Amino acid sequence: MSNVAPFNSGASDDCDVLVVGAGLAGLTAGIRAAELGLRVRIIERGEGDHYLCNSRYTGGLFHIGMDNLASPPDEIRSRLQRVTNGEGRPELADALAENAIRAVTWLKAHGVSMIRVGPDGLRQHSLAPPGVRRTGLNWRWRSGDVMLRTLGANYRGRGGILQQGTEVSELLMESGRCVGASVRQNGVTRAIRAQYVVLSDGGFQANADLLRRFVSGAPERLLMRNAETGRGDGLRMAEAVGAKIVGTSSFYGHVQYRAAMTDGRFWPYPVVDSLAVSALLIDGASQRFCDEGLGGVHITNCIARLPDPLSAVIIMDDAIWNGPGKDWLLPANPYLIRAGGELITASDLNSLAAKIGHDPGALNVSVARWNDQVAGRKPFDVPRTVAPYKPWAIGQGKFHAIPVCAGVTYTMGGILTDTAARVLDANERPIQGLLAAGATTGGLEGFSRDGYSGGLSKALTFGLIAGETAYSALRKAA
Amino acid sequence: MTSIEYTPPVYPVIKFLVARGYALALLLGLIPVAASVWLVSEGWHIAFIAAGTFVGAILWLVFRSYVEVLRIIADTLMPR
Repeated sequence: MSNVAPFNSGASDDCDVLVVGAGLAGLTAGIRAAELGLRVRIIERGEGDHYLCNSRYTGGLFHIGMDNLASPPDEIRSRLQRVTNGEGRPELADALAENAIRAVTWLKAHGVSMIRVGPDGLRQHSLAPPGVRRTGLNWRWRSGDVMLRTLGANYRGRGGILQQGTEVSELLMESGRCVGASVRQNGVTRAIRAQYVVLSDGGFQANADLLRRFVSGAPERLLMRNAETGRGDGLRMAEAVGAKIVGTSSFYGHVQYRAAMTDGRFWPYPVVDSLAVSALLIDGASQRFCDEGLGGVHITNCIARLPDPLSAVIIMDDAIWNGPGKDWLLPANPYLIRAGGELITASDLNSLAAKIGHDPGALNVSVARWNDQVAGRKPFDVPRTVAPYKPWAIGQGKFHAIPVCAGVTYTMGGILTDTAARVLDANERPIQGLLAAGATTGGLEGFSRDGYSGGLSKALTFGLIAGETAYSALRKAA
Repeated sequence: MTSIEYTPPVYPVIKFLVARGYALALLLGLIPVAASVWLVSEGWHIAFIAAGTFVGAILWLVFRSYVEVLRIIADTLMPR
């Protein structure tokens, strides 16, 4: 490109934009920068055509706050305010609301197919071919896998370099400006200089130390409902150069059958959120511990914050099992059972308590208290939101229990950026030369209600913005 | 944690029809036309050519639309 300032370092692997991570955010940033004429190098730790990352595993629904990303921007802003309880950064919500449909249009124009897979807003923009509706992990040749291979081919077709089998160890800084990164390949470390570095290596969900620091005291007792590639390197490197870190206590995930910890038949689907938001959810002492009415993502976070995240159990009766138990995608009834899971059943609560290893007296008291609270005879001891997920009393037919765990898909907090994807320091001023996009960033979603915006729309939109920011800044400098 | 991965089916007939379906539709449509020409050359009434052409056109249309539907399915739903 003729109208961008040349980068005269002399080294052959230097570039205008160095992108860390080749998931959706990284490939989008890389392609956008390359098509605008910049010299781009993407560093990816994984190897092969099907290198793993969370975008590879995705079911493929592009949405914002579980609804249509093509809604009017004002409506999207309100939605994000609602799901984050007003704690998200409004300027990031604005940037997402105003650019999401443009980003999806851009994605389609770059060869990624999308279809509608249902009448509601959530299902208006799904990758094609969509994820297969089966329990267990089914990602090959569909959805995110096809999207990433399509984008990878597009990127290489533009002359972009995808350097696989390479890790980034630290950012290079000169006079407060990021000027590249140290990368390590085959045991050899070297510096790559770049005008802009884009951090897009995903969240820190697969890093036990960071999970322990931010999310849960027992990360080894959380289900890795992800590709186990998000190790938080971008977050760690950005923090080391003074970036502000926000909202790191929340993650996106689902309530899962506990046996999924060791058995691949039970993750990423079926999830048991629809039971958790309706029935009685208790810890190992038969006590409620969270506001189940705030939804499955919030419940999953609450389970992760328990002293023992593997102690949570859902208690229900026949009415709940045959009602909410059949709700949503691949519901527990019958898909959990079909996959080989067990519904623990007893004719009375004392027998049920014995089967799940709880004190019968404590379980009886908790169920009686729950039924009083649901009927309005007593206030909820742990606050309970009753809409949109109504609590169900327990008492019809047999009693059932499902032991559950917290499935972590991606962390929702991270590096604070502005609306141009520029990484901000502790005083919320941009760190020159450093951009970030996707799950490594924070400020948009999460917070006290663990409000979920949507990982794909965030990665795509801010990846696109990052590529454009690099171009605009370099053109301005020319 | 272990994972169990799903091996997708391959759908060879659909792949063949997507690749060669338009040509097959044309071939199928030409068969009644060719048959009617042969019958007329053997002394049957000339109206058979019109009938053969009409049946051929219908066959081509039906089979061509079927291939188009298969292509939509292949583009949007089939593993790639």
